[in-house]
Amino acid sequence: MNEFDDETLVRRVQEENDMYAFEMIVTKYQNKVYGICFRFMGEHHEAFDCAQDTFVKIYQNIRSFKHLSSFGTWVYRIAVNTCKNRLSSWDFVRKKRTTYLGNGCTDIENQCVSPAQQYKKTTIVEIVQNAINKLPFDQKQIVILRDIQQLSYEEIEKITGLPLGTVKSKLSRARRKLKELLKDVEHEL
Amino acid sequence: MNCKQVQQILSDYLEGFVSDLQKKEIEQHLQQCEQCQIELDELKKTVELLKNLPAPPVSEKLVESVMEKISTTGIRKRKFTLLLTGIACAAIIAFVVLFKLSQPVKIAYQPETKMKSAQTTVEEKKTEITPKTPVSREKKIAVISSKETEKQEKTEIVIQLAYLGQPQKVYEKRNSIKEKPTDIAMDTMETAQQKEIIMREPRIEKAESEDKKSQEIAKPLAARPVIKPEPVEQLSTESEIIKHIHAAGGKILSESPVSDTEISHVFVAEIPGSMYKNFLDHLAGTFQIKNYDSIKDVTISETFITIRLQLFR
Repeated sequence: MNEFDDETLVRRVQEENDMYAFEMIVTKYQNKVYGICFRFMGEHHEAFDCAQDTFVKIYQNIRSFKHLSSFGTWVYRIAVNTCKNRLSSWDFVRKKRTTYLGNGCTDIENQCVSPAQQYKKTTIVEIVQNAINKLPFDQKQIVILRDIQQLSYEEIEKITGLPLGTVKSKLSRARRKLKELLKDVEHEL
Repeated sequence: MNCKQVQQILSDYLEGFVSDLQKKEIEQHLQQCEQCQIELDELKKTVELLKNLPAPPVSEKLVESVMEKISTTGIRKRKFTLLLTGIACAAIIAFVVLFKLSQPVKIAYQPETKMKSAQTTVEEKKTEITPKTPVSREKKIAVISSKETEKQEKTEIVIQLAYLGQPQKVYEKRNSIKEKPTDIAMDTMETAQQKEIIMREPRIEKAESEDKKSQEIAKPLAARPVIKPEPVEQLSTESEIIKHIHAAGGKILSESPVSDTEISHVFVAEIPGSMYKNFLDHLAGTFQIKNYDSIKDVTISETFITIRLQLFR
């Protein structure tokens, strides 16, 4: 058993409240957690807050982790739920509305700016992120977990709690929708 | 397969989730259909685009801020937990104290406690004179019933008299009470008990007889001397009763012979309340009063008492 594997680190936190071990867990998972949060929230500030909240929740609930499943899967599930709660919170909805009003036409599908013009102004990554932002939450979480984070279907089932058939159908719909949204970008590639 | 069907399962086709048959059909269709081939290419590019998205740069402050937040949240959580624990303890103590205060003083259980719920004076009196030791199941005290009349001036008491052929003998009767009082009846023991023992109690050796009585009760039923009732020849008991009633200053309200197997006569008489005790004493000298224990000490304040006498054979 490696000194730095998940089980050892988690047990050290659970049994000894070893803050050094927990810091190692945060360091180990920060990229994955932040990546998920960023793709859900679409901007760094919100992603930072969500990632922070995710790790605080992990610390508060780590004693309830029974080692029956992968610790990584458990961490991702907390991250997804934290983002979901944040996206549906009144604060976030109000902030998003205010930002859109302030920025004017930032939408790639908006009639003021065509997708091609938008593409010229922003990078491909931003366009893809904007396209992801347009997906409903159920489809967004599957695309993020499967195509971006490249998790297995089994892990996605555990994280989302959705059956495999639902995961497949939602992924199929999300990809077709993204394909339509990113048609112009794909032609440029 | 048509184009729509193929395009719907292109994602599954890319993931390898289609069956061999479906795969063959899709591939055949793609060779013929340029539009679906384009769709597949675009889908592949989209997936590739998503897979190749660069990971967003993580702020260097994330770990530090998480650890800082945990330390402050942890302290706050501990304080909150301590506060909650304190409140819970105080609530439990308060509850226990209030619960103790609200409890009535406990009294040791006594068999006759049940009887103390009786409402009338007669019933209360009866409770007092009930033996404190648990009464044997075989023994059943005769029934007394009383009721206050509508005017509340008269009390009706049913006295059950058994004629004694031979004094100081024990009779065993089965199902002796056929006619039960119709008024408020209080059976001091289980009503299911069908067996009844009537005992003669000499007035002089009362204490001694009580000892014998308790010994008798303690004996198993089989070990008790059971004397079957002998055929009693009809004496002038009716006239004696009438004589006692008149001597007590009362009057006969009704008198009727009963063609019952055990009750031969029923008298209803009215006597002054002040003469009640003397009247009973007179009767007890001649007859065995089945419910004597229950009614001898009853204090009657009413002007007249209606007494129903049942004479047993």
